[in-house]
Amino acid sequence: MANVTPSGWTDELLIREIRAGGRQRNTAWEYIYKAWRGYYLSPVLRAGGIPEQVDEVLGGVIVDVEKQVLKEDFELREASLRTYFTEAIVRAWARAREIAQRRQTAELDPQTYPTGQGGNVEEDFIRQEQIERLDVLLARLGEKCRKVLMRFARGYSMREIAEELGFQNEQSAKNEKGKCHRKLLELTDEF
Amino acid sequence: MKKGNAIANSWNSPTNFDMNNNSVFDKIEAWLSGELPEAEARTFEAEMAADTAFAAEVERHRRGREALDRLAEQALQTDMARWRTSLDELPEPPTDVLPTKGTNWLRWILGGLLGFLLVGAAYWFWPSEKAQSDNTPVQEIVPPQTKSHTPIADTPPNEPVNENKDPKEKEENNSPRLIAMAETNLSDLQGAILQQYGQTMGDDDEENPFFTTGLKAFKGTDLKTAKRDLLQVTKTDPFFPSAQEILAYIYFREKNYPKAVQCYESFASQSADPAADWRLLQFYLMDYQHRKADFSKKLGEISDPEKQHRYQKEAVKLKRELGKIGIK
Repeated sequence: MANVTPSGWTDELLIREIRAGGRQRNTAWEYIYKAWRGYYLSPVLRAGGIPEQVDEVLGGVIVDVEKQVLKEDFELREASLRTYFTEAIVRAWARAREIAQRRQTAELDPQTYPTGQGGNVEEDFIRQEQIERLDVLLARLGEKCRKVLMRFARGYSMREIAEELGFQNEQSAKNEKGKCHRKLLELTDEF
Repeated sequence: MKKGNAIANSWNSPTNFDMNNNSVFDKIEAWLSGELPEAEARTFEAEMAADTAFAAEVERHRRGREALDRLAEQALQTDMARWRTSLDELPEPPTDVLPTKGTNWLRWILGGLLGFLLVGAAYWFWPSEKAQSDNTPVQEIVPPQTKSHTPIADTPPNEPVNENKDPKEKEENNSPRLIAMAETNLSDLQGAILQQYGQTMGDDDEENPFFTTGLKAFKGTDLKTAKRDLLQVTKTDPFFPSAQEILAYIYFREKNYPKAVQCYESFASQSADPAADWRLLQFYLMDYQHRKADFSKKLGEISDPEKQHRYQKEAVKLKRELGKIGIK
């Protein structure tokens, strides 16, 4: 865990900032995204991938890693956060590649899919389709609600949301968030 | 028991799971986040088990969570697109772990001292440079261009230096002849790079992975892959200058001379090797149109007998050859 970087960031500090949420969390991820890019892209490039494919799965990986980090009992044991993060990315990229390949195969020959041997890939395939449907629904949220809920989802405090989006105070931001959250639930009822 | 009574009472809710009630709404969210105190969480779960309508509402919130996760991903995609445009600018850690104010004062003092020394050095060397200019009429006294250390990835080529050129000289500026001369003088560059970075370097996982894969590709003459990977080596990385040197060669092969010069300039600024000076001169020559001032200055430095540069003779010879084709 004592992985001190030249810039002063440590694993402990990154975890602390991720747990803090909001801007602090975003700054920690910005550091990770930039400073570790060489490390987490390298295994993918070696396996024939390209940086754009990693960027496509990275958002989901960050959200998943965040959920783990937020757990009270989260600990890295012997691995560094960088190794943990890189492994998560490689797994996500490999899954995404497999799904893409299976989709391609299915398009060419529908009889070949599903084989029933896909395991998690099967679930991911379905999930991918759900995400696409979800995106269509989320597009109906409206720009203002999207902005509010995106920040809420990233762990921004009401004060931060109010500051960034120009609400008069925290309470106004909270009211707007409540309204948008309900709208979101209504939309997901259709899902 | 009437639906939702227990939990409604425990939250002082006037209605049965009125989902417009912020308190109930927030409680469900808190439970989903694992933020409810133990006792409240048990009550919540008991009510959920007893009331299918309430359980359905909680499930509705859980689906909402998935949608929020997707929004979080979308927010991150936007952030990442922004971060990609400034990969070299690492964010500072929080102020509570930054060096103390005392250390900052020390930095200010050291910075001031360094500035003072630089000003002093400039004052000390200025007359000698002027004298050198008088002795070598081919030279023009021009302010040195600021060396850029920004990554080369997507920066536009340098704008032409605003100079008053006569029409004849303009023709010569674009002459393939100058590029050919530079190419001849750089014929050993690829070999030098391979020798410098060794036969085994690039196989070691401890290096920057991008540099490793980039160098490997370069060794395998896969310049496209080499370029892609080496462009990912960030400015803060110790391998940045080396990556820039190889990129300079790749751009040179692609005939993208402005970028080749930028990369080599970045490398040479970190190198004490006289050969880097000489090669930088060749890079300036290949992009003479934009780098005339830099070329003239560097040529003057290397050809100056007093400076005893290792490539002094070659520089004098180059100056002579250029003189023959009317380049001053």
